[in-house]
Amino acid sequence: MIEQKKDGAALFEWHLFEDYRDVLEALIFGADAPLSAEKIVTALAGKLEIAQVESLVETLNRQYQETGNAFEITTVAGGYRFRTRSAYSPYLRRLLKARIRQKLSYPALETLAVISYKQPVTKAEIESLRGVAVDGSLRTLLSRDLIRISGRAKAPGRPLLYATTDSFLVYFGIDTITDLPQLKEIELLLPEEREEEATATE
Amino acid sequence: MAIQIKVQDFEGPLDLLLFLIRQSEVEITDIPIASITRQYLEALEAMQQLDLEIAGEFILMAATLIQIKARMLLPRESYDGEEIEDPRKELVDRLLEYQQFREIADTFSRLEQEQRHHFYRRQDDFASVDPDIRDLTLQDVSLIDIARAFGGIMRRDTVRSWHRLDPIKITVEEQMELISDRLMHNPVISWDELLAEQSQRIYLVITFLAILELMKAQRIIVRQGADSGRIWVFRPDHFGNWMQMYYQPGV
Repeated sequence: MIEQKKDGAALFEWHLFEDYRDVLEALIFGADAPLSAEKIVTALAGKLEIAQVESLVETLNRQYQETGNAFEITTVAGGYRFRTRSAYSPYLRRLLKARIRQKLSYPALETLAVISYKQPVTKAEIESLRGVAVDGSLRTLLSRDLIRISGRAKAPGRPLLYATTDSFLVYFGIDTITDLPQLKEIELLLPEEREEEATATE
Repeated sequence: MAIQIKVQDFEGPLDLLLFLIRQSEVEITDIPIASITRQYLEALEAMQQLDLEIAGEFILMAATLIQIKARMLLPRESYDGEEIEDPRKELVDRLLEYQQFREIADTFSRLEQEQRHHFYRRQDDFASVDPDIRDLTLQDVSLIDIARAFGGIMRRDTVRSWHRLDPIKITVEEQMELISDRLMHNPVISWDELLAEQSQRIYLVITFLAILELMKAQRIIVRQGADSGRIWVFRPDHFGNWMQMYYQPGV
């Protein structure tokens, strides 16, 4: 049995690493989507705590690096996934030429920046922030599955609302939306304030 | 001073304005509005000389700048001695906010570049094999997924567009009942299967409307396989079972 720690912080325990490293590898390798620490705990029938899983994955990654492994574990879209190290990029790029997509244009990136921080957001709000029409970039982002239509605003005409997708997180290698760099004037974006705005327009 | 800029490089009026402010080496919060307005108008003129079509938003900004310039000439205090807000404030706020989104876009661009050198193991290797429903990671279906799926069916070659006028033999309500009945026998049906049986466009439309009505009434649950992209229609009571099966590995 594992010693329960009241403060939840798991110190590194070597015997746990010895016992579970292969199981963790198998789970992350075999999962068909980014695998969260919670799901690993469930799969292990609660034999490890979340903090322990996190610390073991960290150790595993360090070991991969020390032994010059070709791949590593990364946290993306709320879970662990294996990915190759960037050193192998030239070979893989040649191998997978067909599925490497064009980079996003700057207007598309700018539109995506607005959506990721202001979501759910209407086209009109995006346009007023960027000062230009955004129909083209919205189409591109929708077709590349980086944004989705998340509903309709309560404003006149019930305009469509746009939000980012999980593919967006994967595309930029972001773990969760809260990991995005903070804006300097963060008070502009506080959810309470947005709700106030919404009720004010009703 | 002649402006040495490539006008086509600007994403929009805010972008151009930020460039002019930076070039003039002035504080964004204390824009010399007269000189910036002059430079902005010169830039628009340069665009015209290059025969570039000037988007309406550039002209709107020119009007805004001139309006601010005019308001700057008015006294800063009202009759009762109250101070009037700086006419530039609204524009400055917009510029500051826009500047932040530009920085985020730059960050995204860096992340994109970085991610392009990492490759993930593809996890939909078996998408072409008819998937066992328990192995699918299902996600919510969005409006655009449904529109796409319906569009796909409507474009199928097998859909004949006859011009003979037949009486329509079924209503949306009846089709809803038929779908419900089928779900009683078979708790999961693929979207393609439901629609593929319909040979005429009007029946496709009726079936589609029936599916939407059932979704709205929450008599069915519709989910899409994250990897295969296939859309599945569930009987709600069965969906619960399915979730349990899926979330307890080994069962």
